[in-house]
Amino acid sequence: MRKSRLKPQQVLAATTVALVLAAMAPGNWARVLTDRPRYLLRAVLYPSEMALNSLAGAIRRPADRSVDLGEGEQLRSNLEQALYYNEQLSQELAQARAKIAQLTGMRGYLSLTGVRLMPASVASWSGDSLYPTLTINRGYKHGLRSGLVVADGFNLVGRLSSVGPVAATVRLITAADTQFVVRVLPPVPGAPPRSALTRAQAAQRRLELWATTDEGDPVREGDLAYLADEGWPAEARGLVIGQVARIEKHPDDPILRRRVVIRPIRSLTHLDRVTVIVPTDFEPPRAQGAFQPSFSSAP
Amino acid sequence: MRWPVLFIFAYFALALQQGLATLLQVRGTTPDLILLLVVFVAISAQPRVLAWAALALGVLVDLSTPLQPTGYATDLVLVGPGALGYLAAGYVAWQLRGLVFRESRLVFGAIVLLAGIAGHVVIVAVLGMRGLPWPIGEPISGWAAADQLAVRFLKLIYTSALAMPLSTLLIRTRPWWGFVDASGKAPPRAQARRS
Repeated sequence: MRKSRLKPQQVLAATTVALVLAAMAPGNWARVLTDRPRYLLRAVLYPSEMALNSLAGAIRRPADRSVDLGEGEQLRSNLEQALYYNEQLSQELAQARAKIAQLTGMRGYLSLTGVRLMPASVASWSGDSLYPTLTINRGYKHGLRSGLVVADGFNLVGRLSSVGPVAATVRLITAADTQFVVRVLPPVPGAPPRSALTRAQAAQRRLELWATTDEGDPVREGDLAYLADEGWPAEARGLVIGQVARIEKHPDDPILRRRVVIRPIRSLTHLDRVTVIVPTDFEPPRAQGAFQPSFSSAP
Repeated sequence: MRWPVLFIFAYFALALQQGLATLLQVRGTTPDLILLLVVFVAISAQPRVLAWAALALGVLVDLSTPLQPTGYATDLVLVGPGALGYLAAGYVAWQLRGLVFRESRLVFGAIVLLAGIAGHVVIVAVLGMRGLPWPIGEPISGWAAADQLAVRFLKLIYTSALAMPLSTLLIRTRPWWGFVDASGKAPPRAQARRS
């Protein structure tokens, strides 16, 4: 093996000289050299330092001087509260803007007339892959009823399967007995026109859907599947069910038919917020308990 | 020496030094825990390992010490002054380790003081040279060498006092560090513990 020409002492001496030069570097050069490692070190140290600093402040905090500023003190306190409130409002504004962008996208895609869109936060996922459901923080006190369509942007999430006073359960489109007609189209507008109408059903415990097509149907991987079922409310038709993940031979008829595997674009079990599409002609229940949820409108 | 152990200790030393600064400060002076590590490595490790460890710890200190040169709108960090200073401190501590009984807490504190003086004199000298008209003439804003020497001496007194109790803890962790002597064997005390 070829031995290194440099001895360790020489490397050490060279490093020392380099450090002397770095210490004497002009500020602009030093900044180029050290800014990245400096902020990397700060990022690594930050969590521990923050915890220790708050601990130190809790243990040893110098007593605040008691100065009576009269009205000035009150103004200072008001200013602090106002700044804190402003910070909260800014965060809420950012969330609202994100939601507006999502809803604008929806409106651009669908002709949502005669409906209002009610945003809701997802509280939990049932954890059941056979009948997956989400719990949202809106109920019949907010004007919801069973059967309403739930979307995430232009993606169809499911329908309300039960509605309580301030919470509701959303049955996802990947639940075991779901079946609907979908239209499969190319994802890019302006692509050569081709479409296929087919029936999709949930693939049990897989959080995806299967559709059956004929061998000659123009369906390709990457196509989008849109809801086209007359049994669903009009406002849901046109929402995206998912994307064609793969096309395989149908196990029952491998020569003539194919099985199209459709996966939702976003993981339906990892959603934070959804939108409930509420028809405006719907009269919400007036008294608590007067409304009996049902799921009769399921397709 | 096991380098990951050094960096874990260095991480905690830096985090404690800066995170607990408000708790540990006495009249505006905070201890230099990294110097304790340098001295501990100096009295335990081989010189070559010590040199690289001192440089590495010095670079970490440099990266966490922002300076404000005159004429610049924002602060910056300089890699070099701390590294060279800790290298000097390590050298002094290594020179002293053969003369005294290393396991004594009092001696450890004294070595920290002497090594620290050497180290901080180097740091002040390097930073002071930046203020000279040649080669770069970029003095640090509000910085005076005499003032710095006084402040750093107080810091060393505090560090030296803190070194006495902390050295007990550090010496107890010596088996973790995997120190070997010049012949490639673990020091006798560590060998006895392992057996």
